[in-house]
Amino acid sequence: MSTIFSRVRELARSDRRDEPRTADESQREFVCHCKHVEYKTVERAIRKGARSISDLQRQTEACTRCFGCRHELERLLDARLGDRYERQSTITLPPELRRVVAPRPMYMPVFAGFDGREIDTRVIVFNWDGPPHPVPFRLDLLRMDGERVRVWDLSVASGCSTVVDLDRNEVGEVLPEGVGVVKLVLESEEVGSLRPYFQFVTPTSITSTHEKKGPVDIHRQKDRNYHWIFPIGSCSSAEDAYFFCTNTQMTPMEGQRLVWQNDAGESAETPFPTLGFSQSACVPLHEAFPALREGRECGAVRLDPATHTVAGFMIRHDPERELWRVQHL
Amino acid sequence: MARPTSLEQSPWLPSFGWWPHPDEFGLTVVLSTHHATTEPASFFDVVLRGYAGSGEPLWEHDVGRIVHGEDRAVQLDELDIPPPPTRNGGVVEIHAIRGDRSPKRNVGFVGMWLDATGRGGGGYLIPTIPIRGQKKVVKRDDLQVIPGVVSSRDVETEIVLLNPILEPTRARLVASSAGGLVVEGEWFDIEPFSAWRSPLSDALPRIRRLLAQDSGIGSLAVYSSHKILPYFGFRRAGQPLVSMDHSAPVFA
Repeated sequence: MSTIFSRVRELARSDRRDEPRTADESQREFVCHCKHVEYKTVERAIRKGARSISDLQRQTEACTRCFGCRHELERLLDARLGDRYERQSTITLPPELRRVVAPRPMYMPVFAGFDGREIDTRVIVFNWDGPPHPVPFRLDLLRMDGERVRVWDLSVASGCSTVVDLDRNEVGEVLPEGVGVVKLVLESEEVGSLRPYFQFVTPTSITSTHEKKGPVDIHRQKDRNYHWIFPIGSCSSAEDAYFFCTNTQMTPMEGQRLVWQNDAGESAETPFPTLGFSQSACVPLHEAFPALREGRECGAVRLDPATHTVAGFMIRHDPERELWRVQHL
Repeated sequence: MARPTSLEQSPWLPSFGWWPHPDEFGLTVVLSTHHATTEPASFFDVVLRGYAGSGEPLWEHDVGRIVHGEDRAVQLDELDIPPPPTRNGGVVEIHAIRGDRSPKRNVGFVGMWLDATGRGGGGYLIPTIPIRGQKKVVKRDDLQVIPGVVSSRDVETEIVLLNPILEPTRARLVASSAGGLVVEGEWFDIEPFSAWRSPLSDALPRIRRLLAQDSGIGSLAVYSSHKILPYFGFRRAGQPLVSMDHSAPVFA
């Protein structure tokens, strides 16, 4: 087979891999990165009487698109107002504000030294057959409690891939447990091939899958007509199993459980932690259901009841060979 | 149930996945009614088939009826079936025909899961995918992408392309470095109901040089004359093929 080695697109290197900005740098300027609302604008609104997130949404437009600045705004309101802060359990858009139509945010787990292991994460966004101009996007790094700890403003040029290393050197300090979530917010209505994949990279393996999107409307919750499941097949060596899940809706996930059912119909269950918006959990299924670790039984673990849209991933780890594999739900 | 009968009689279409050679992977087909629906009256008649080289299955396994609430697992190691003739493997078909109602559209499918574990470790966990019947709206059927391929001295990407239709399908790989340089392969044929498999650097001999300036990382576009099902996975030097995932369509 012959190949053609050709330069088909002339690109300035600066177009394809922007330097990440740390939270310290970018958050000095913006608290809401979607609407480019500066901290000082929010501070001024609070001084002029804003008492709640709804007030800030009306007065500044902050927190009206991806809602990723919710925790920062809550912290600011709490610090400035104390008891006068009118806390809201669920953030919604005030009725007079029109819902912003934006691409659904995309979530991916981040392992950077998880469980003391030599494991890092890499995100790749590929712009092929898509917009001819560089497409801006933003990566928000979230802790498991939903707190945003880093922001990167990036872009991907036509025909190019933007590669972001979320490794222990880059994010280890802000993810002390070695685990978090990255949320990609596209600044384009066209998704095309811009759907990111992520990789877990270790000295012995690379495993990859694509992101999971949040719902079209994060405020609307309806029952699902199927369960998210983690299938368990036969295996010859012990493998740990982690159920990784981010709540992508405003309604808290409460009263959920994980149900392990083998193909003989026997079942066991464990409670699933309560998760607010953008909060995540990484549940070690092998601790709750030891039979699936050894591969002695086959079946599936399901998230029950089927009520939420989640960004979920299944992760298996062979600790003896130090091999990992990941897949989306 | 013979294959033509099941295809002609039901609007519920089959889904497919890679059937690996049993010397390399042990494959479990996980059939979950919970993943299919929450409707308690639902039931499914399930048949598994293996193909390698033609639309005539090499084997067929009638799972029978499973009713809502059941999760079933079928280990191919426990079936008396022949292996695929080559290390490329073949195509496994999961035809779950829902019996309590028709699809909401003209056709539908009931996707299931494959959990393959490598004889030397690793493996892949992947949903089965149909050729027709999906709800997602894609821009085109002749192009899919794999963001994040690696080809270097230490890591190789392995590509598996499944052709689960009765026609030969032409395919072509185009790799792109992070910076937008490309290397284009030639068109090649994938026989009906067959798996094509290759390390990326065998299919695109100049790719390591192309990707070298970007730490060996780039992305791949897979063009095809008909819709195919591309898989990809990574193999570090001296290690097994650890994990495989499917490519992404280009969305409308």
